[in-house]
Amino acid sequence: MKDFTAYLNQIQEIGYVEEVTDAIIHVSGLPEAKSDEIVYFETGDFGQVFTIHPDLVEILVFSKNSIKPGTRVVRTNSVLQIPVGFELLGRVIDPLGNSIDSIKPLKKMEFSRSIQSIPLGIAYRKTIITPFETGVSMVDMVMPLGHGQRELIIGDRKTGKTNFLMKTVLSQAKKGNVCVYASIGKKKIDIKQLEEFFIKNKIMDKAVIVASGSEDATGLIYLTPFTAMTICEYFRDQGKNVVVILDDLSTHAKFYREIALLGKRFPGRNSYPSDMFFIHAQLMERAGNFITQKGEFSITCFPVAETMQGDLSGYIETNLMSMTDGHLYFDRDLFYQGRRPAINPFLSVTRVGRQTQTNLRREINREIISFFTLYEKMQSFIHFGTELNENIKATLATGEKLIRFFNQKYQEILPIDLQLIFFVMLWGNVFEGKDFDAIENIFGKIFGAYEEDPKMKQQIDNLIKIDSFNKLLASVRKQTPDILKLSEKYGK
Amino acid sequence: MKDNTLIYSDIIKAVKTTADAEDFLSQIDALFAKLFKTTPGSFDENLKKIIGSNFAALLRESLEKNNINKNDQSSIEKFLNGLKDYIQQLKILKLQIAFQPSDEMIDDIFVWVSENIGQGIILDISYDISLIGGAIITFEGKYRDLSLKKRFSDIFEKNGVLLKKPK
Repeated sequence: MKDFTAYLNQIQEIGYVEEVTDAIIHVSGLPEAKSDEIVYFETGDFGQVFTIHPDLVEILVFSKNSIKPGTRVVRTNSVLQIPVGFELLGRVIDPLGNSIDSIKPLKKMEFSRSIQSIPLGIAYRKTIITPFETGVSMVDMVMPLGHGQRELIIGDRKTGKTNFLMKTVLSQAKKGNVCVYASIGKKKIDIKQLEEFFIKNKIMDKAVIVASGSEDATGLIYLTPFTAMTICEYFRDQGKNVVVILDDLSTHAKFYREIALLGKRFPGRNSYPSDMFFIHAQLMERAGNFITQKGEFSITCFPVAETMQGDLSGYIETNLMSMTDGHLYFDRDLFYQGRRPAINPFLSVTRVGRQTQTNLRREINREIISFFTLYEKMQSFIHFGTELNENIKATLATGEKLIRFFNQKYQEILPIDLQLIFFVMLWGNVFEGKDFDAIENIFGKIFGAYEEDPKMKQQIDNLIKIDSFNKLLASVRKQTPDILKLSEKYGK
Repeated sequence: MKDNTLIYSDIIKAVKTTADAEDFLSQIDALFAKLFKTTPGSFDENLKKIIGSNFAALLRESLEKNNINKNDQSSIEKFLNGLKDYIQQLKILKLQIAFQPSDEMIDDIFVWVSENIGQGIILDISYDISLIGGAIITFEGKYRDLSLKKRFSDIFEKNGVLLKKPK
């Protein structure tokens, strides 16, 4: 970036700071200022044109340095751009592209991209057909997702949303996909823990963390998801599937509300500005399944929204639900019952995930959903204390086993093929007579063998190619002794 | 309704710089403070005591020209408010030059600006010896650096490499 004097001589326009109100600075002059243009203060700070009035310009600043009235301001005739490149992988950066981790400064990158871009049109989009693996069986089997889907993660605070997202990132990074995590207005300790999680699981080289702390300037926090999306678009155009997590957009909305109110924009519902929907929708539209010059690649987006006391009817929450391809609802009641993840399958939706499933998975999915519906109804009988017949007892026992199966420990991920095999083994009662702890132990050994023994992996992968649930059930019953034998020496 | 330019034209001719404008505004404020405390007929006394003779004469003349009764405090208040708004809305042409100009020079510049750019513009002249010569002009957000300092730095930048090369 050139210095203040260089811009002044080049553009030959000047402004003067008239009023400073926290994130918004009122500047007189700059007659040809354009919307979203970058302006430079003579103190070295810079900001973005936020609103243009006939006699003054409102600037959104990106730093907390104090700027005094009378300070001179100059236009740059350019919009905000951030440097992009493969050098970003493994780094923690702020929304302006500066490194904030403890590693050496970022090398100067060859390319830069504007953080505001028009999403690709319909001619460049393709139907979502590739299944997206999160490594969490509750999602992969019951609420399947696809590459390019926008799935909202919604729930109260401390219900396991971030934990689920970390497992998703872990699962995708191990497959070689790029993961971009936008941490919006979080505590520094949370950002640090995120970085440590990626380093510990050896996936930092596939991830970029775009972070803004709660103590950062409001303008900077506002930019965070846009920067993250810009980085995703770069990697998509380089021929990579990308996963982006926007954690969380409820906080982002609050900071944008603050900016809009300081800018004296007319408040709408809950004092949010009237363009609140547009701000988030333009972000969501930049995700999807695209046809690029290098082929078909996707940006799968997981925006996060925090609810209050389970209220799904809030303004931001309903906005986000309407602009995404489904949502996973983290129920606090299920969380208190010990379910992990605490996803409520009856209140969660996936609009495009099922079209990515094979016939086998679709069949299994239907079985699980209808079983859960039956199980929920059965639960009500227990409360009456009536005598239960054998069928009901068997259903309840199977239901408990399935719920324990879908419970996954912290940071544990399961490949989808193994999820199916384990489910079929449980469903087919292959381990009749054994308690669930023993079954879990066996599953642990099979998982260990799957990871390390190519023969075991081959056997499992071949089983999954069967296209009918009943045929798969029969094959699994037949091959279980072989599988158990192969997995004997392994363990978790 | 009369155009404000016509009502205040005589007074405004005396406001040439931002210093003049600030001076006039502070005198108007001083007059306001005394305006409703006077007994009828003492407005002239206040004009003599509170504000400078130059401004007092111009104000007296303007009030007579606009048929405003000196005993009618509301009309005077309205007139002074209008004058204050008008002065505050005057456009400012900033000039940074390398020397302290004389009053005559300021007058000449002001007349030139009024004739060639338009009425209702006042000058904000500041002094910066590092400019060497020429001026930096800022008006309505437009900025032009026509100083000798810039000319020299452009020349050095352009020919800087040539100067270092051995012959």
